[in-house]
Formats: sequence, C-alpha cells, structure tokens
Amino acid sequence: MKRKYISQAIGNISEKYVNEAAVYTGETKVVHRTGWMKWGAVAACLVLATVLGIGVFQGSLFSSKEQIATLDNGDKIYFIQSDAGMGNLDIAVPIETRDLTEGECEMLFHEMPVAAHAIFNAEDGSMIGLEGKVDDIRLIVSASNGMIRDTVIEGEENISEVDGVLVHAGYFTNNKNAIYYAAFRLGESTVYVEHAGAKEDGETIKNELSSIIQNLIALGDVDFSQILKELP
Amino acid sequence: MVSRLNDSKIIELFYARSEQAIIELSQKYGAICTKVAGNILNDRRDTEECVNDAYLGVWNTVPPQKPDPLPSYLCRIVRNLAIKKYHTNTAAKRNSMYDVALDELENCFPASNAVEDTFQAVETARMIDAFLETLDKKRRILFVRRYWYSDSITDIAHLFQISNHAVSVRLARIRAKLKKYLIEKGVSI
Repeated sequence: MKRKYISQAIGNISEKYVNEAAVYTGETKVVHRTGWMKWGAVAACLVLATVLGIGVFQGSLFSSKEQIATLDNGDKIYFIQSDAGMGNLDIAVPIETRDLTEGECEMLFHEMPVAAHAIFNAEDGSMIGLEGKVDDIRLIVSASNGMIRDTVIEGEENISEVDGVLVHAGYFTNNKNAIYYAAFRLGESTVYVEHAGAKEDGETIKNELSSIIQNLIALGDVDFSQILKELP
Repeated sequence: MVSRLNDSKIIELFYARSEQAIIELSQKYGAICTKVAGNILNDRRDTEECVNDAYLGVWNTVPPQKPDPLPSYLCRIVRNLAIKKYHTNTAAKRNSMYDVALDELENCFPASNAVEDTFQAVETARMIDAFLETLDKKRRILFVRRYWYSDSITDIAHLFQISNHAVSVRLARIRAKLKKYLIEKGVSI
C-alpha cells in the first residue's frame, strides 16, 4: 500500500515539472579548443594558480608530453608531465583532527569508499578541510577558499573540463613510479586528488584517478556545514 | 528534419474532430508515451495498448478540455492507464523500471497506516512540488525523469551525457535531501 501511495504522490506533482522533463532533450556540450579558448584556458589557469598559491608554470603549458583520459561522458582530462615533486600539508595555524565517521563520509561522498579525517582550526573550531583516501587515491578537500597544501600542483598543467568543472591535472614519473594528480573547485571547496603506483601501471592509475575525479564532480558542491569539531 | 505541428494546431484538430489529430499526436509524442508506458509495464503489447488508449483518452476529453501544456497532459493519461494496467496484471510484477524507481523512493516516505489516503498523497505531492522548486533545473528533471517517468539510469545518463554512476550518486543525494525535507515538514518517516 505504501508503494501505491508513493506512486500516487509522485504522480500528482505539478504539470509544470512533468512538462519540463518531457520536453528536455539534453544538452549538447561543445568545447571548441580554438586559439582564443586556449588563451582563455591559460588565463583561467593562471587565475586559479594565483588564488591557490601555486608555483610558477615551468616549460611549455601545452607540452607534447600530455596524457589524456577520456571519460565515459566524452569529457577529457589532460595530464601534463611535470618534473616537480609534490608538496606536503602546510597549515599555518594550530590544528586538531578527528576521523570522520562512516555516516559523515556517506553524507559527504555517498557511495564513494572514502576514509578521511577532518582538520579543524584548534583556536576557533572552524573546519579547515579534510584529508583521506578514496580507495588508494589520496584526497584533500579544503573547506573554503585557500588550500591546505603548501604546493598544490608544482610544474606544468593543462586545463580540462569535466561536467562543466575546470580541472587542472598533471603527472610525473621517476625510475619506478608514476604519480598523477589534479585539483578542481567544487563550490567553496578546492579538491586535490593524487594517485601513485608503479610506472608500468601508469595507464590504470591515470584512468582510476580520472574516474574518481568524475565521481567527485558528480557529487556537486561539498557541504561541510554538518561536520563539527566535537562529535555530536 | 521532420517538421511537426505545434501543440495548439494539434488541439485545433481535436476540436475539429479530425482523425489527423491522433496521427499528429502520435507522431510528435508517440516515443515518449511508449517510454512512459513501457517503463511501467515492461511488455510491448500492453504498452502499445496503453498508448492507444491514451490517445483515445485525449480524443474523448479534448474538447472540452484544452490542455496546455499538451505533453504532460498526455503523459499523465499514459502513466495513469499504465499503472492501472500494471495493478490488474497478475504476472510479471516487480521487474519493471517503475518497480525499481519505487523501491528507491520507499525509504523517503512515511510508513503510517493512513498512507492509502488519496487526499494525503495529493498533499504529499504538493510538498514534493515545493521540494522540487528548491532544486536546480537539471536535478529537478533528473528526479522527475526517474520517478515520474520511471526512466532507467542508463537512459538518464544518456540524456544528461554523464555516467550511470553519476546519475545514481545524484539521485541518492536528491533522495537524501527529499527525506530531510519531508521530515522537516512534519512527515513521519
């Protein structure tokens, strides 16, 4: 009987919503990578670099040493080879951390297998961000503007667009290992992801990271308002 | 590209009692009607019958009615007929898109004894309307395509050009919001 009631309730929603969905035929996303778009992308990239405090770009931005991951929705993520190493967490204020509960992880990331700890400003209790993992992929999310890494992405980047969100991605290798990384904005938050492994597994690492990027973007804006320093 | 009559012209044909009205209606909205009925009935013959009954339903009600917008009017007739047929069918239950979509929503709604009350269902529909108003257009359409039209995850992913997983995640998030919204409005879950 409950199912009949639900069906009736849904069936009685306003005409305007039924019609809105009836006539919706999808959106065609056309990304022209023309000259000015490239320069626009460079400009946007530099703006984000400035905001995030990223280091100087080195070498050619549109390097031929570019690896591309094509997502199942047709979007592409461009990973540019870099010589730089990654930075570490660098937070200038006293902090306190605690593990996020399963419920909190589910609230923030739904079905994604995230384990993370939240980082709070010890002085005023405000949330700075979180650090954790999605499976084997490192995840850092800042709670608001500003980033909790000293060097988010050092080296070269290209700009990609995934579901309308700009993604800055790169990779570097040494003798044995490959590390892929990317940063993007979700609302007020900046998300940084990093995936590393054996060099010969580079393709898999790249694709796994790209899939996680897509899934994180699909979640939409990150809402930290329910995450408090003290567990409820 | 095939040009179709606009809806007001189709309505004029119905008013003129021209059989061309049904042909135009079918050419313009046959695909979506078949999808709505098919998602619920999961049977080609039942679906065809249901869609034809819906055309007849429009023929019998226009005039005096002058539906605007026409597609939602027609789709609602199709959906109501399909659900009626679904309940009268004894076999092949719980395997359609309609069932799957209802399964997903079940946790969002109250389990009270009075849930069979049609009036209460209409009241809840108004709450869902208010909730849908809080969503952006894309998420609203996503929700309606899934739970009103019973579209499959794959069809929705194709429509929005996103992955199946992205659709599932977005729907889960919307359902969580709906549940929270209904609780805030005093609906006991």
